[in-house]
Amino acid sequence: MDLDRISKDQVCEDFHQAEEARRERTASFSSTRRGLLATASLGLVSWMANKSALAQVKISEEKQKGEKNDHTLVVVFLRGGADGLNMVVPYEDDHYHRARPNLRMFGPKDKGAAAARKVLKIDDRFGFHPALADFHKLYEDGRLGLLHACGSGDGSRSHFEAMATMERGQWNPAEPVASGWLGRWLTEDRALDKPNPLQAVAWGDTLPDMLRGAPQAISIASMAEFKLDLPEDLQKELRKMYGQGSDEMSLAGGTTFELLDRLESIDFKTAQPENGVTYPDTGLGKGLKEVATLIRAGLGLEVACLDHGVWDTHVAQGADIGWQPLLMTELSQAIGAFTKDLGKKLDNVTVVVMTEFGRRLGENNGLGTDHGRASVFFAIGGKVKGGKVYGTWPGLDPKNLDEVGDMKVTNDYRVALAEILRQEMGAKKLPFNNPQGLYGFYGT
Amino acid sequence: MEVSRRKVLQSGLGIGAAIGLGNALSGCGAVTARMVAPRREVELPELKRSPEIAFLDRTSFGSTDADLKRYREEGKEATIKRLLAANEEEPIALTAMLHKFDVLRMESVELFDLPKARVVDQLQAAAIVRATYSTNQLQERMVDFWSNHFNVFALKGDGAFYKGRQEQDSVRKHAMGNFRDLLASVSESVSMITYLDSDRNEKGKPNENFAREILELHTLGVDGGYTQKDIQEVARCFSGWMVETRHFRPKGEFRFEIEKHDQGEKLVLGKKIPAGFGLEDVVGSTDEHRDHPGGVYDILAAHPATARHLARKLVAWFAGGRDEALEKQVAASYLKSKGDIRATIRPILESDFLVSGPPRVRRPFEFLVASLRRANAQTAGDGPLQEHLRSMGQAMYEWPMPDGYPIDARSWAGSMVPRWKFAHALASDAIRGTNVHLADLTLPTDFLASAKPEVRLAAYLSAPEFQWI
Repeated sequence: MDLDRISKDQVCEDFHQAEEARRERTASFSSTRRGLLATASLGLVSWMANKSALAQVKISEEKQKGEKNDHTLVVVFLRGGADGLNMVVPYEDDHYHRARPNLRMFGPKDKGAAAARKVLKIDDRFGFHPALADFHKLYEDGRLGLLHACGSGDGSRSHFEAMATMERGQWNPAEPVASGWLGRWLTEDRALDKPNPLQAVAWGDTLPDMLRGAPQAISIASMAEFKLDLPEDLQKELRKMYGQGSDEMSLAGGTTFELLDRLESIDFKTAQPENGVTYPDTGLGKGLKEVATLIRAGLGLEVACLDHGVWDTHVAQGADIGWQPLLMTELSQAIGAFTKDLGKKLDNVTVVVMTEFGRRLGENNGLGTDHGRASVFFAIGGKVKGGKVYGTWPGLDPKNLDEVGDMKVTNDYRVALAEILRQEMGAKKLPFNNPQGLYGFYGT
Repeated sequence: MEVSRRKVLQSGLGIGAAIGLGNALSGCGAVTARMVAPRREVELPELKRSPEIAFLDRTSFGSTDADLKRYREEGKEATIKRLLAANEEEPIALTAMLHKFDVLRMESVELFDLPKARVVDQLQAAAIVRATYSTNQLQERMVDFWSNHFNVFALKGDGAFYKGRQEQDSVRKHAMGNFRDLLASVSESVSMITYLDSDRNEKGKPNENFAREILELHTLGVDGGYTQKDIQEVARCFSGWMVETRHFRPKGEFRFEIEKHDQGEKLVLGKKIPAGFGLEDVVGSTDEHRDHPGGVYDILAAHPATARHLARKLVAWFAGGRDEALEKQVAASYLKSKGDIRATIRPILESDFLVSGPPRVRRPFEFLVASLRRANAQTAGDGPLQEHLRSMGQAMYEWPMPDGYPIDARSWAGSMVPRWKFAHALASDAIRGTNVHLADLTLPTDFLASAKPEVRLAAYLSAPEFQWI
């Protein structure tokens, strides 16, 4: 894409309009969807890529046998492009300080700096923003590993393109792929002989693109509100009708009732977290609490997707006070609570925290930053060999920046995801097109 | 060579006559909906489909008892002829209803004054009432087919403001016409230009997005035998296309900049396009002294791979699966008629495979419209009805990828609850702005005979059988 023709305003407009439309939709839904809401969704497979499905009405014979998997992958996507440089701060780099006179954070031992502006030390190069205190704790406990300067090959700096690229598991947007990376993985590697309606769940109003193509995936705004509030007599007739046929729709209907019945055994409204944890009262906090409840219930949840944001901090990003510290606090506290709540069960869970792109090294005139390229990627879990900064750090020397002045992407997000799918989820067939390398999040 | 962008709304029949009526009824959607679907006694057939109903369900947005009666009177041959002609007069109340939608009347530049939410709302409503009440049902099915074949994502950027014109002036206008004209018209629509970045494709700074999709999705198909070099050459042919963004000019109009166009010689699928052309690269040259008259549109539309690709998609669209002999026949008919869409689909309508082909799932839009038609519902396609369509997963023009909403069952099977919820809401007359009259409906006598009337209708529409055609 031709960069100099896309103004900042234009790309942001795309994103904000899409966001606006999403919010409008959400608002207009609430009246009818509240309380039942198995909305959307579905494995949405491009039919061109799935020719065999056209001739197949019965699906039972094409399902592969899947082994039972009691591992869970939780993907938290920071929407809007999170500024990795102020999350994991290269506090020893003079270029960082020069480029961000107002937004910079200081080293842990910096004498002239206020306490709130000092990072939590990782090593001699990096420190966590203090709003990521729970991340720092997880790092010190050896359960959080991170990859800096991470991203995709998409240089459009458009939210739309960058998200589409990453959610489809591509390096650049030109690769002809319609399904999402998780959708492909679930279809090609994890198809179950007996469908599990809780195999992949997205918390939100719509199915994220990364789950497109999944054999069964649902998006649910809130488990607590997922109910089929139809009259009893109608439900009875529907159960009868959908218990008979072997066509895909009959089977799907049967699966839906099974899901409703399974969830009936859990009262999400009164379910209490363990280990004395209190989740923050935020969307992410509530969602992760339900994820933990499902994991504890052992209902076969393999993939959970949650969104957080909007991290599009063009203005009022702030250093210690501003939008970004607020978002970081939300993120850190919610994930901190989740990991404590799960306790020993965290051994079978990996949480991925990722974003579509990072932000410009140089701050702008509005105490914010514009769209950039590389950002930071976190892997958190009981088996993750944390306490380490993985990958190659390109540094912020102007000669190492790209032509726009952004930190270069030196680490491929797909390599990290591939590793997590293999090591945590036991993946045999990966949904990515030949990413090379290994970071060693779980050792080598 | 002029690529005309400003076309007055013409495709709705009897628009002129309807304007008076539309004005007389303006602001009174309920009255119009009642007029377009007057109350009458309606008999719902068995869920297990007869061949007659299968034929009608596959050539329309869902058969009604009136359709069946007419089919029995006319016979199959005359029905096919009538469906293909697509020149039945539309109900005047439908035309009046459509007249109220700004998105069908106004140019993009005027639409920009409206809130985007209203534009999106009108796009959805117009699609719903057309599909539900149009007399020319086969044409509407083709509109749905082409609208997905040439998919655009209306929520990208200003897409919502452009989609209405394209649906009207390109897709519907040519839905039963000639494929080459349809291809040209859609490619030149601002809706497509902005969706696939044709406006970011300049000499020396190519963007191959549109070129790839026109080959892969719109014409030859992914296995159509083109190369990366062909994609690059096609991109060069489309270079210099712009959308007007300058001040004091009509925002959102097509604009061609010859300075940004690559005027060098091109070779597309082995066919030479001489140097010095502008828009002639794609539309062809009318200058008889030039050595090659055909442009990209002609080259792609006339390609045998395009015939095969379209044949396969059309057979699957109507008949639910693959039949190689029929596909060959359809492809041959396409080539022989030089892209005449009526001639292309005729063999499908005449084939036994249309009825005997495997079941194909009703996508949410088809399911919603079929339910409305089967129950003789009265609707102006308002917001509360649209919410149901959205929650079922198929808000119109909101599939983000260029390949269009899928038609395979698995893609839709994850979302049963919203279908049941819609059927129940419709049967209980609980969708604001959409009405059914249970007293008018007679269901098959042995279908849940003892249940309450609204439960019977909800269960009928929710039944697995009704999810398929």
